[in-house]
This record gives sequence, structure tokens and C-alpha cells, in this order.
Amino acid sequence: MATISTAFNIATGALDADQSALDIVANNTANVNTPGYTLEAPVWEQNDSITLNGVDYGMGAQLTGAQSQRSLVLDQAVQQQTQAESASSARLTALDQMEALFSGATSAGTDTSTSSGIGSDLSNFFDSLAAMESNPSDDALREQVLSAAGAMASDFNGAAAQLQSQQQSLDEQAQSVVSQANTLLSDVAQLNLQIETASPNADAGTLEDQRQEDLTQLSQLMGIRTVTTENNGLTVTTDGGALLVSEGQAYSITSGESDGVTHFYDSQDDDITSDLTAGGGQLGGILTARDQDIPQALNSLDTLAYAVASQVNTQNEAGSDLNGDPGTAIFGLPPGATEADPADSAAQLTVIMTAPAGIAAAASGEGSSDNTNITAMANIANQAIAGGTTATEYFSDFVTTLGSQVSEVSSENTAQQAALTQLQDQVGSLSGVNLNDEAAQLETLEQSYEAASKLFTTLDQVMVSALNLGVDTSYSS
Amino acid sequence: MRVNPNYISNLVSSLDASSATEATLTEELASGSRVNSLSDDPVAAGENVILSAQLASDDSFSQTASSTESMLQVSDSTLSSVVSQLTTAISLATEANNGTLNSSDLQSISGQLAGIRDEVLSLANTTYLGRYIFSGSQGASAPYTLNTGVSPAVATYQGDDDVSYLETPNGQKIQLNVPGDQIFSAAGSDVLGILNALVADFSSGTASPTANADTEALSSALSYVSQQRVVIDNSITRLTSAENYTQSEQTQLSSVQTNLLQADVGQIATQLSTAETQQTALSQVIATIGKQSLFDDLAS
Repeated sequence: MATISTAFNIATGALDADQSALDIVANNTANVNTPGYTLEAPVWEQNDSITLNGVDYGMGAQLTGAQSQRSLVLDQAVQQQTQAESASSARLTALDQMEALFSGATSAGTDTSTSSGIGSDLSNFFDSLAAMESNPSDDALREQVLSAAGAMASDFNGAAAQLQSQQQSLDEQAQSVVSQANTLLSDVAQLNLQIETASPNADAGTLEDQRQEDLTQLSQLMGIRTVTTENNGLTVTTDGGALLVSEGQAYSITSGESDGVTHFYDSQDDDITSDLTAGGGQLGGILTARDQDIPQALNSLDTLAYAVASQVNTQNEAGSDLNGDPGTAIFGLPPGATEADPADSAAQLTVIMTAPAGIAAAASGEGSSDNTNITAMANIANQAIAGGTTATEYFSDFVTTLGSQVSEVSSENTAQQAALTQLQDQVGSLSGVNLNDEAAQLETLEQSYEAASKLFTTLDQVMVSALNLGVDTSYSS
Repeated sequence: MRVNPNYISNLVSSLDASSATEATLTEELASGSRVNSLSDDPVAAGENVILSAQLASDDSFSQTASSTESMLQVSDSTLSSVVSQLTTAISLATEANNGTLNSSDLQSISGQLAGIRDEVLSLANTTYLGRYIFSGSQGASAPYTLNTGVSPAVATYQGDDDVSYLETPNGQKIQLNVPGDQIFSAAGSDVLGILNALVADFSSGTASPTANADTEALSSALSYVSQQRVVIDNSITRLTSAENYTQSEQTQLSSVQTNLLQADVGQIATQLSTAETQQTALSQVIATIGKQSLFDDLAS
């Protein structure tokens, strides 16, 4: 038969449990703005019942602890999406900067007083050649050709230099991202150790929150894959499988220079640069811009600069200049540049001709009034000299390609952001602290606490009655 | 169903997005152009590069054409003077050939003819902007020199027979010059040679037997020079029409470019006002729901 003291025990247990649950509610409420905090729910458990003389008696409830409301599947989906989104966002930032270099292409009008970019430089240069047709020995017109050539060369130089310096700064960013990532990796390794010790078989609560938060931050920085191992440990690898964290050991990414840019290596000293590029995260986006987008743009500029300069040089060398001497090169190009490999042609394009008389307007051997050669030179503007198109068309294609790429990456980024927001919503609805919920729980717990207290008072009365055997006054509580 | 308690932060990103939209629209309004960066409309930006190049080349051709036209005008009026000089020479020679003049008259006619020859020679050596226009490609040196040490005097052509052409933006070739040896010393129509012969014919005071033939030759040379003048006149006409064509093309291209890049103000203003309404609504939603929580209603 159950005793009154059993009931006391049940009431005390209920009060204890309610108090613990209130602690959990208070902790949830306090952490409402803590990044990475995962909502904790009290876990109630019914105490084992006891059987006396064939009758089951319940023994109340207890609180076994707080359970973090976490879905590892959702968390991983968020990480993957974060990596994709950060990558396109970092790449977009770089592309936006590149695009700004060529925004002159969107300005209307034929205002030649302001330099509105390589496109108008090209047409100004060829127009200045065409202008010489009418009066090939005129000094002013010749002067104009050299000044248009100079403006064109300096705009090519400027664009190439800015692209190169952008590449350089992306290189530096990549290094700083990697050093941040290395710090986070050793954090994760540390937490792995703590979690394996503290909670090998169940969710590790706050420690787990910290580890997940580290992984989220890591996902913003670079592409990672995670595998849960025994004892609640976590193995982190790159997208391509290079080991970064295993149990309590973090394997830092090292860097070294190769081909003028920084390359990254794993613990086995294997080059994982392309792995990191494809992996995503800020690092992936930065490396994509550094190793693909900028070199592509530079190559287009080099091709164009090389084609124009070498064609004009060849034509000028075929004619006779104002003094009747054979023409010489107008433009200087880097020594090793060829049509197949025009590297650095845009950056190092110069005008080496200083005397306007050097422009070979006349066909070889003709006098100074002949315009055959300058007409041929001006007609280079209409010839397919670069990539099967004319110089202006080539630049136009370049502008369209770059613009399309920016707008493509931009819409990609918008879509990824939307998907990420959706996933974060799902995580938030599971793991976020909802103040309304907490207020409701607080109210419920308050009431059950009150009820348990009331139970206690009533039991006390019962006890007094029992002690006094029905006589009210001799003993009171 | 549970919802994400942090949905306000999502609303804030919507607010950011609508601010960005407003910024873009304002920029379009301010610049009057709907393409302010390549990615706004990559195809339009690319087309604009080609249109701008065509416009610039048309513009440059217009300038070239007007200076070329004045050069051709100079050639034309030079040849017109040559024609009138030759006409005078023919009437002088005809007069000398009719047999009624005495020897001093003939000598004076010879002197006048020498004057005309010098005039024609200097017309042949006309320059435009410091360049001899009748010496083929040898614009730096005078096409004709005269040796009066022999009789008859000899005019030597020092230019070449190079013909230059101006190419219009649509590839038409317009002849810019006629080499001097095709006008003043062409085979069968050697203007300067005939003039020199005529001067010698009458210089002794008695008309030489070749005088009649020389006078006839001068008449046919005159019509030949007029024919050469037609070449220059043709060039002027073609240049003028090329110039007109270029100008109308320029107008057309400009309007294409404007259509391509110009912002539709009405449309943008409407979009801007929609974006503004959206932003106001969002701000109010955030302000309203941000305040509420069940905690407010808990009995204290």
C-alpha cells in the first residue's frame, strides 16, 4: 500500500522537475539572439511505477535533461547551400569590379574628348588613319594618329594593370580566407575532442552548437564535406576529399607561390587549389575569379592588343614614310608575344614611334602624297584580325560576354540566396527560439509548479490529520 | 506548425533588396540611360560599341570630306584657269597665223604666249596646304620645271603618275588627284610642249611653218584638259553625295543608339513608385510585428 510520504516524494520530484524545466526556458529566452544557439526542450520522463500487492502505483515524473532541437540533415543542407551562395557572391563582387572597368562601353555619343574606353580608342585610332587619306603629308593629321595610338595603348595598359591588381588583391584575400579557415578547423578539432569525452553517444548540446556554428562559418569561407564518426566525432574534408579535420587533429591548409599566384596544399603536400576552386565558399568564388574570369578577360585584351598592334606594324613596315624611308613599327609589343600566345600584350603595349613623319602613308617607293598604304592601314579596321572578327567587333563580343557573365552569376546568386533563406527558415523553425513558445511554456510550468506546491500543502494537511488522529488542535504544521 | 522565429531578418533582407531596386532605378533616371553597367543589358552594351564606332567613323569622314572637298575645289578652279589661259593662247596664236601682223607684233605675241605658258606652268605647280596637287605622289616637289636655255623651251615633269583615292565608310573609292603629266604634258596633248613650240614659232618675228599645226594641236589639247577637269568635277559630286549619305546614316545610327540605351522615364517612374510603396509597407510590417511577443501579455 502506498504511503503518504510516497506522495510527498512525488510532489517534491515534480517541483524539482518543474524548476529544471523553468531553467531550460530561462536559458532559451536568454539565448534568443545568440547566433548558432539551438533551441533546447526539456525531456520529461515518467518514473518507474511500483507494484504493491498487485496494484501499480505511478511514481511521478522527472526531467532527464535538455534536448537540443537539431536536424543534422538540415544543417548539412544549409552548409552546402551556404558554400554555393558564398562562392557566387564572392565571384559576383569580383566580376562587378571587372565590369566597372569597361562601363565606358555603355555611354552613347561620339564624344572623343573624354576617354570612354578601349572601344572608342580603337575607332579613334582607325579614324585618324582614315583621315590621313585625304592629305597624307599633313603633319597635324600624322600627329593625331600618334596621339590616338598613345591613348589606345594607355587605355589597354590601364585596363590590364587594373585587372592584374585586382587579381593580386584576390590572391591576398584568398590567403586571408585560408588562414581564417585554418583557425576554424583547429576549433572544430578541439570541439571534437571535448564532445567525444563529454557526450560520445548523444547530442552534445552547447558544444555541438559551437561545432555547428564553426561549420557554418567554415562553409561561408570554403567548400567542405563532413562525416560523423563514432563517439560523435566529426571528420571534415574538402570537396575533393583532402582531409582537414579528423577527430582531435586539424590538418592546416598551407600555401605557396606557383605561376605568380598563391596555390594551396593539403597535409600530404598535394596541390588542392583546383579542388578548393570547385568546392565553393568565398574561397571558391575568389579563386574562380582569380584563375578563370580575370585571366580570360586579360587574354581577350591581349589578343586584341596584339592583333591591332601587329597588323598595323606590318602594314606600316610595308610602306614608305614621309621622308621616303621604309616604314618601321608604330607599336611596341612584349618580345615573346605571338598570335597564339599574346600574353602581356595589353599590359605592355607601347607606342615606340616618336616622329609623326614615321607613319608610312605611301606605298613602298611612292612619294609623300600617295595614300595607298595608309588606306590599307585604315582598312585593317574592317578586317577580321582577332578571333575571326574585326577589332571593334571583338571588343563588342568581349563586352557582351563579360556583361552576360556578370548577369548570369548575379541571377545564380539571387536564386542561391532564396534557396538558402528557405533552408535557414526550415532550420529556424526547428531550432530557433520562439519567444511566444517560451512564454507559453513558462506559463504552463508556472501553473504546474503551483499545482505541485498546492499538492504539497494539501498533503501536509493530510499528514496533520493523520498525526492528530482526528483531533484538530493538538498538533499543527 | 512551427515558423521561423527570426523571420524579421528575412523581412530586413527584402527591405535591402527593395532599397537596391530603388537605387538602380534612381540611377537610370538620373543618367537617362537604362544601361549603366554591362550586365544591365550585355547585348545592348555590345551593340553600342559597334554603333559608337560607326558613328565615330562617320563623324570623322564628314570632317575629312569637307577638307578633301576644298582641295578638289582648288584643283577644279586651277584647271578652270588653265582652260581660260589656253583659250586666250589659242586666239593669240590664231591672230598671229592670219598673216597680217608685222614682225614686232609677232614678237609681242610670242612674249604674251610665253607669259601664258609661265602662268599655266605656275598653275600646274599649284599647292594646297603646302602640297603640290598635280605631281602624283611626289607632293613635296614641284611637278614642272622649265628650261628656257634651249629653243623651244622644255618643261620637264618631275612627279609620277600615282593616283590617290579616298575611301568612304562604305568602301566607295573617290579619285583625289589627276597626275600632272595627264593634264599638262600628256602624249598627244602636250599642253606645255605646244605652248613652248608656239612661243618659239613666233619669237623670230616671222611665223614658222609649224605655227598653224601647233595652233590646231593647242585647240585639241584644250578639249583634253577640259575632259580631265570632268574627272575632278565627278569626284566633287561623288564626295558630296557620300557626305550626304554619311550624314543621313549618322542621324539614323544616332536614333538607333538612343532607342537602344535610353531609359523609358514613364516606366521607371512607375517602377520607382511601386518600389517605394513596397518599402513603406515592409517598414511598417517590421515595426508592427517586431514589438509583439506573448511575454507582453504575461501577468506580472
